[in-house]
Amino acid sequence: MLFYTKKPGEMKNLGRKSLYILLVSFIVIQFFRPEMNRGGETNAGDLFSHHPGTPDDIRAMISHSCYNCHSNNTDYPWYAQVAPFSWIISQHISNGKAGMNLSEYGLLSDRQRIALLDGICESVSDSSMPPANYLMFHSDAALDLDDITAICDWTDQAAFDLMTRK
Amino acid sequence: MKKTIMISILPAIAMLFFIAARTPVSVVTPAPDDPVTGFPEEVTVLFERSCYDCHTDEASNLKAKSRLNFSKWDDYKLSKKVGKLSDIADEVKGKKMPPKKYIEDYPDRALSDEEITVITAWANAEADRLIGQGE
Repeated sequence: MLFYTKKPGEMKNLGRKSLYILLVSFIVIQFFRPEMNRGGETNAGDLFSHHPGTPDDIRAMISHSCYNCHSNNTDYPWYAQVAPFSWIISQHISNGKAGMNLSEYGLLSDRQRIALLDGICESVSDSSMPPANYLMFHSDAALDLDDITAICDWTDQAAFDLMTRK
Repeated sequence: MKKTIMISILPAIAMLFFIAARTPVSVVTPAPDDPVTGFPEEVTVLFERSCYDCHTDEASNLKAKSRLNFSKWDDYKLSKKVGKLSDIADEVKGKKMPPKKYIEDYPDRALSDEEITVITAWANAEADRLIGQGE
């Protein structure tokens, strides 16, 4: 009733057929390419252009571990050209940018900038960022305890600068 | 025979899962007494009704609590308070908070447009006041 068993010959045929269908679908979906996240710099200025005193190591860490999904410029791996990975990656990037876009830091008010800086420290501290599924493919984006401390020290300082500037 | 039993039981099991998924997990807890000092009355009333359920020490929602905990408000440093006020204003205004799912379960805890304005105006003004205060 639930399981209808095929005869061996029929089974072989079916296997070959599904393989063809799979292959053709794979080729067809390649024609649906999501737009690449390569917006360049905005006039508003990104995070670092508004905090020019940022030390190089912090700059490198945040650029490397966050900018792929939280800026207008993604450094794509080769498999990002292949559907369905291209779709998944594109979806992750638009989600990431909706939550925080460091390329458009200049568009935020001071209170929003302070919220963003505090949010960076919070999310790296509780390991929600970078997310585990991203780290599976980008193990070098992982942050250790020293990195996290350094990032939080910097975000605290940057928020303090915004609080006290006249 | 066995198959017939399986076939008749499976939908019942599926139905149980469906019902379980639709049932709110948290039991309604009475809103805790005002854990925060210094907020104006009209804002506190709204926070108590629509936010404290997840954003105080008594809440069982760990993620919500870790992002914003009104019970710990007095321990937040000045810049964190500014950041949280800014997030409160933006999320409430953008209707991301209270979450849709929560409002579905507790429709009477939704914020009206006037209430959103009350919270947003206060939170923004308070954030700006604290920024002016420096550190």
